[in-house]
Amino acid sequence: MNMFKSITIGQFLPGESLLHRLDPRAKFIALILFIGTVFILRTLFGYLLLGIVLLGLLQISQLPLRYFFRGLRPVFYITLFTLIVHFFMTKGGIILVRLGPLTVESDGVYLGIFMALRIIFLVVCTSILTLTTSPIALADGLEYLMRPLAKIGVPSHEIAMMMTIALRFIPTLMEESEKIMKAQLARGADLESGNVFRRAKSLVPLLVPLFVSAFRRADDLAVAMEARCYRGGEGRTRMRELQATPLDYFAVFFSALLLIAMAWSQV
Amino acid sequence: MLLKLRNISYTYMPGTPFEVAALKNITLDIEQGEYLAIIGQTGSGKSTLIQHLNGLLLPTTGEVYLDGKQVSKDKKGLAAIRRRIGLLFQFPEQQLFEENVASDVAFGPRNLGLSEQEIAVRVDRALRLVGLDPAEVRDRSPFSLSGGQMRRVAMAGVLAMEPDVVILDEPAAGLDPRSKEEILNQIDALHREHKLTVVLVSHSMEDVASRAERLVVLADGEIRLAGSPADVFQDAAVLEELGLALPQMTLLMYRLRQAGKEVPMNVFSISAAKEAILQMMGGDKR
Repeated sequence: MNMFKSITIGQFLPGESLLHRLDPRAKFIALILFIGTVFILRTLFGYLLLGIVLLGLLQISQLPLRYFFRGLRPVFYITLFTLIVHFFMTKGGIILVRLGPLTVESDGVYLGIFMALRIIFLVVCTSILTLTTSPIALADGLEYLMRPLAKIGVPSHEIAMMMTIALRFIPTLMEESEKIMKAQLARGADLESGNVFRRAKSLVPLLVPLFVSAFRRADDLAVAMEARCYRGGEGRTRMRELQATPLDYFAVFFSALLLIAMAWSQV
Repeated sequence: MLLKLRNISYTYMPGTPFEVAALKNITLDIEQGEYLAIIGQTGSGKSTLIQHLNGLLLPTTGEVYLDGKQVSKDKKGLAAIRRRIGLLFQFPEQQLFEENVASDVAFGPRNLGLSEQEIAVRVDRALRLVGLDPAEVRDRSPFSLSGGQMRRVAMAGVLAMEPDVVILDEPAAGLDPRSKEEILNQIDALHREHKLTVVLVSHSMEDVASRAERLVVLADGEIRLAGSPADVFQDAAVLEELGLALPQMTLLMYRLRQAGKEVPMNVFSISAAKEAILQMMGGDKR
């Protein structure tokens, strides 16, 4: 029954750590630089170095480690799948194992491990960002960073507003779907047995009420925004002004340094 | 004993930073044919508690027994339990989904695997039980009805399964005073005339004091008071501490008592209060 509650990706854990207090813009830029770093690494030693840095960041973030790694569980399966596909499908190098018509070759093992590490590191980097940054701060930061794009017609404020609203309503909708699911279960609905078609059909009693209430909520929200004279981003001031501190510059500088150092040393 | 809860505790999201102990060591019996009201503030654990009664939630520790049989994860067992114990959530009109009222009410009976004939009979019967005219509403879209009517349709959807026990979570929430009175009266009638066991969840003493036979007061996931309304109202001080207002007339009696007058506490209506006050004044004269 608690299927939605086990998903922790994208969840925000309020806290007071250094990473929590960092400016969201700095965190965004740092994340992009970290992602760049993940992709230029060429040796396992490089991944080890980056892993140590990330563990250090986790330590600074004061996130509960058990909770953090449990949230990575769904990603673990994707990684495992990637690993297995690479083991058997990528050819080249020395043949390591022969299983009937299937062979595991050294290039496959090498590439598989690299891909798996990349996925894990990407998810760890992004999770650290989302776990330490409130959705509103995320959207604010994104809006600010997209501002130069407004010159070529990208509606950065609107995109950020849509993101904020979407993020804001994810927990609400999850709560609601759980409630509706329970209500239908209490009326004897069977959501788990039968073939694909029966199961798809059994979703109707969940989806119809969910859509009805989502539309109603959207309508209410639109009216509420209208009533407070919302008319887009132009000339709009904000309650929380983003203010970069030396620490934020340091975070960006450190991430850039990491990327350059890794690229230069070719680890 | 119909339902037995033994030392139930329930924790939401155990092992995460969001961990909340919603129920703590609850022991409660529900008898066949009784009218029980569970009262508590928002967040006291009422909704969590009732979900244990039909196996939607299984306790973290402790046991629930239905007719002496323990409620467990077993799928067949759960289906049988949900057939016998109907649960109507708060704002149940949100669960309606079919294109017309009749098929929505029929959803429950159909899941029980009944014949179409039997389903049609039950749909009409259930609609009448909640005070709707089957001929009039049967073919209408549930979304074209008024809020109060939608709630009745949802209630009919549960009653059509013909459960032994109906659990209703704030059935009158958000309705205008007249619809509220009507729906509570209908629940009374179900209990009186159809011998249904009723478990009513509410935060309003006013609504349930004169109707329920037994009250259970919940606070912070624990049972603080239990007993007949008159018994529970003896502990008016505890109720005040929990932020649960006494019914107005009972509060009047309580204040009179504090002023040293001899009045009974089982007074819930204006007419009963009048009687009590007249008697008190007559007693003074003598």
